[in-house]
Amino acid sequence: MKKEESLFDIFLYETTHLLDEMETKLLEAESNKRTNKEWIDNVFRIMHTIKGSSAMLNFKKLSELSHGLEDVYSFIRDNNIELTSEIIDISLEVVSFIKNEIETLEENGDLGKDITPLKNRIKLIFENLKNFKGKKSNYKVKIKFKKDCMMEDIRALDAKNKLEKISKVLETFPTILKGPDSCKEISEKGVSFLVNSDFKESEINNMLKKILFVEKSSVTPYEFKDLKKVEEEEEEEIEDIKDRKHYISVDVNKLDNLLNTVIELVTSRAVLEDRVLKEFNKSEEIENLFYNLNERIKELQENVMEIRMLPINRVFSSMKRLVRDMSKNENKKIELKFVGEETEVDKNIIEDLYNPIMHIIRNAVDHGIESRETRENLGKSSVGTIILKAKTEGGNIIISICDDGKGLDRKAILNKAIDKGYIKKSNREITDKEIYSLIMKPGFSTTETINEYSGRGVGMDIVYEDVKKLGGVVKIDSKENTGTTIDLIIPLTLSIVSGIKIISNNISYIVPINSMKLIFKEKREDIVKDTNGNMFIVIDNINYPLINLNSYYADSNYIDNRNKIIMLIEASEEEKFAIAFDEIGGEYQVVVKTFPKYLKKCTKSLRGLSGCTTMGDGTISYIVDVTGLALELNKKVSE
Amino acid sequence: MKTVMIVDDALFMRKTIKKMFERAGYEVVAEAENGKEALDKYMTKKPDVITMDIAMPVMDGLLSLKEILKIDETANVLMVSAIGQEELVGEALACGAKGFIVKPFTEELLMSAVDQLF
Repeated sequence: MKKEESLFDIFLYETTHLLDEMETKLLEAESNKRTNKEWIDNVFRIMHTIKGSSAMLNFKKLSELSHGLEDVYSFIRDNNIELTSEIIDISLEVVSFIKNEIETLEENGDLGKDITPLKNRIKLIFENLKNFKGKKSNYKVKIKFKKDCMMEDIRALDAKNKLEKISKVLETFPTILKGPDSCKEISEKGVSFLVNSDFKESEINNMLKKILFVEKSSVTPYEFKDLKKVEEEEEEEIEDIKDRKHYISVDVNKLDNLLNTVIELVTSRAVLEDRVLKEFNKSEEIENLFYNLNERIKELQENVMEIRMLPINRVFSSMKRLVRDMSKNENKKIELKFVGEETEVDKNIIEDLYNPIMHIIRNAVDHGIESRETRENLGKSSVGTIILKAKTEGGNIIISICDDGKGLDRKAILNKAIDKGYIKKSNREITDKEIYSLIMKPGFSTTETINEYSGRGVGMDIVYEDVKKLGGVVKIDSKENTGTTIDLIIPLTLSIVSGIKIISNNISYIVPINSMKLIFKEKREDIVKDTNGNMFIVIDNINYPLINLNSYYADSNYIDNRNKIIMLIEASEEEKFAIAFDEIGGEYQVVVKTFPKYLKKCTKSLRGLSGCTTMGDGTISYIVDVTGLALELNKKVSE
Repeated sequence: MKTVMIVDDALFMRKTIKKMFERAGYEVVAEAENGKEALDKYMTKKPDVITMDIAMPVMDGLLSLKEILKIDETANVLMVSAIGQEELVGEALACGAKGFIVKPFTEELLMSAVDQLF
């Protein structure tokens, strides 16, 4: 059975990937309003593959569903037919359905839920397609009936019958026109039809105006996709196979084990090097051997890390669907843009990023982006924009979620914070950043809106906790009527860090090498103190905050008159600071160990440190968390 | 002045509708208690608008509608229906009724429908 199991894993892996690909393609088509032959071929191929593989494994329901859509796409392809939003919608539904049910495959031997309704709808769409071919125009027809005219469902049905005389009605919204529920819906929201007709917009509209009690009607062209006929199909097939990448699925635990072994290897090497250099005379040969060994271990480590790295696009793309569904539901128009989606992040981080990003996006769609009317009144584009950005900077991955909505309500947050007792009324000026960070307090919410997606508008406290678990921080910036930007700054899980060893008051620290900018010997005259006793150092006429590691971590009574070494550190583009210490050691590859739990309560003495490491000689070094240290500095200055 | 025929087996309904039309400046030229009577009166009066009740003795509104349309396919027949008559209304519309109103209705609603016919 072992063999079968692994086949099943591969099938799951491949199918999940194909479904993701399909979803991306569908959303792409929906927003671009354009597809081409290649697009259709791709989607067709995905359905075709899933159909084939699931049939091999005897998952009949799954196979039937994909077969249904395969037929639809093959017909579209062969008959040069325009793709309708109906087809996109049903395809997305099928994708979601399979994604939700795929977990049940193993236990049930097939999809758990009944597929009949979906199957019937696909069948109907296919029948409609077959009955209708041609190059007419598609229109979206909307009708709203006069208030209190009653039996709106019959009126809608009548309108449909009349439309059918001059067009082909492809879809109706609501789907079922007749009945008390539809009647209520139509009377409140009106009825819409998707029609295909060779009549002009105005001609259709004139016909609608003759229907009694039609209060408002509109006919707008509905853009569908331009498809070319399939040519030289066989040639395409061959190319396809060549282009396809080969994947194998690997149990993540195996990767974790491999990484752990590499980490142990790094430590063993350090111990070995230390012993060898102590017990033997230093020779060029030994040094070369160690150099080679180092390089190979580094390569090995990088390769293992790389296997675990995935483009953040995985998380980003899944937000497309969320934004699409939510904005449709809330009748907002929102464009979701990606920057740096190819940025690669460790698999563990990727998984934990999904929830925080989702929460922030939900808030942006729900509370950030205004309704179309409000936006227009404010002179903004009626289409809201959310930008998801990813970049790596100084050993961190920074994910920014920017929206161009109404921004955070400074006053409301402040009032609520005073109400809830988070801050006291004081004369002290509170900075915007401090106020915005209040929304991350548990249970803090200024909005009472409840909807399917955002719950109670809470969630920022969850975001804060989730990001904290990843060792990261959340930064919020906002401007009224301009929008909100939320940055998640998360250290890349480099459990192995390249760093420079520095020593201060006999304690050794490791500073990550990629954040180090400059090292020099101090000159007393360059150091200045402000009235609060905060130290700064002037480098090239710029003042940088300065931390003396001796007084920061060690005994503050320690009399410190040695000449210091200064290191300029860049935590991020905007955040630079300097540290002062006694001695500098060499470059080391060290394994980051988090502090034991019982030490974690010592938040004050461990501030700005991300963990510790055992050096080759058995001593312990602290690992400096430059982002954390920069934050501590900011806090101090604003106090 | 546009002319109207009111077809309804209930005197109360005929009088109510008649008042509504008269206030709006229409001339009610005929009233009929059933579909058969409506058909006869249509021949002589040729009203511009007919309001047609559906459930009536002797000949129902639906049949009467069909017969009238046989004589004049452009006749403006407005069905007067009630909740529960959805099927019949649908059929009437399919046959060529210009529209329908649902009891109880306001003068404003009736007139907005009738005005739209012209």
